[in-house]
Amino acid sequence: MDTHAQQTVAAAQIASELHQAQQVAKQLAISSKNARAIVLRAGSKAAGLAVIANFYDELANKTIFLAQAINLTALNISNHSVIEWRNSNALENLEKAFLLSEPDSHRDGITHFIDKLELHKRDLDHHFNRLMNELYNKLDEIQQHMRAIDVIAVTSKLEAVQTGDFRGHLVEMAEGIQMMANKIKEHVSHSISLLDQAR
Amino acid sequence: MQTTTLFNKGHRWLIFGRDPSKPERIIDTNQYMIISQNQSILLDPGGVELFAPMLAAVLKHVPIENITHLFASHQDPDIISSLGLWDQVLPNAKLYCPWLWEGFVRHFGMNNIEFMPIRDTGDVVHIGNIDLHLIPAHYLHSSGNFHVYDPVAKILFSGDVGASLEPAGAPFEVGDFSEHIDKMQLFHQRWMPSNNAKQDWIRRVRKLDIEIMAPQHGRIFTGENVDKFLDWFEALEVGIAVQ
Ligand SMILES: [Fe+2]
Ligand SMILES: [Fe+2]
Repeated sequence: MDTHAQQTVAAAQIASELHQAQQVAKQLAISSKNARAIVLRAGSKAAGLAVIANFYDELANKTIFLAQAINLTALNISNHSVIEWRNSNALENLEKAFLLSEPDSHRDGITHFIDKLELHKRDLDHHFNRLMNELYNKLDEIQQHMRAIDVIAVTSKLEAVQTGDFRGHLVEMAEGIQMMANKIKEHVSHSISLLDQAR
Repeated sequence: MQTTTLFNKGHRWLIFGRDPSKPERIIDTNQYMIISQNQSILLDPGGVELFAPMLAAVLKHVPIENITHLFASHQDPDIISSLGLWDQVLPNAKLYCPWLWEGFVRHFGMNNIEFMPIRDTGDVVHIGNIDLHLIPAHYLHSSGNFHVYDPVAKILFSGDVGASLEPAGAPFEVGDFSEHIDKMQLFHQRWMPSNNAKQDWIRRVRKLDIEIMAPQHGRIFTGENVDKFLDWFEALEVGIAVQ
């Protein structure tokens, strides 16, 4: 497949991966609210956990927001790839026309537009790289959030020991949250590898 | 791409076709260019596969800035799917095309060229110092469709009407009309949907003084072969897919 076609397809696939990650992040946000409710009921015994529950909530919301932003960037990349694709298609055809043209014809008309399209191609490449970096950074940011959520989950399982009756509930919840974070991580890693392949 | 001059007195008509580099399963097409002073128009500039050889061929005759107009008789891919590429190299050109097809033809890509809708009753386009008449030919075969008549050169560009399907390398001109019928009959019976539209077109075209009838596929008709074609077409039953 042509590189532009590959990039267009990869960006569309990433948009779909991130859409799924976003769904999981929404569940994560709901779970974090439940966690907070339990922590409230546990009262003073779970004071340390209250802070942690707030963290969950914040991270889940940030992730939803980031997933939305990534979706938009991926869509931009997809559209951009189509423009690049068209541009390089035009360039190829002009190069073909130049080879077919006769030296004593008005072929300077062809070279003029080859130059113009090459300049445009450089601009497009530049812009494309910027979008790709933006996408990498955002994906990376999500991964960091997921690692943080994982660390917090481990901590909250330890803290849960002091909460007596609520311990079972809290551990279960922490594990659920860890599972969701892992799912999101998988979608994001898959997106990153799709991106690497298309580069 | 082979080029033949059809007319050269004050202004010029060129026909391009029989491209040896054309992929095998693509229907062979004729493209036309009319040059007057420092303006020129491409009639049915062709499919995307033909863009490169066409551009190389037209630049033998005019500099690129002198290609000022495009004409698309209708929306078919063999007529105008090259639009997205012409759009890159003719940013100031105007495309004359049936108004009916604007929203469709734009799918081929058009960011720079200006769309000039042709109303159903036809129009006149000025190129250099000549007038070209856009003659309605709706439903032959496309539901929004025009032919181009040049009263000075006495040439009618007739789009898909008069088209013939033949092997590569066929001559540019019809010789014996009766021998040519086989190559046209099924095309006209199957692609043309309306006997009414056909009769209306024949009535209108009979009033024109035509020395050359130049279709978008196959050979051109000259002299008495033009009348022979009109007689033959008049008697032909079309729209045969519906019994
Ligand atoms: Fe057609
Ligand atoms: Fe055609």
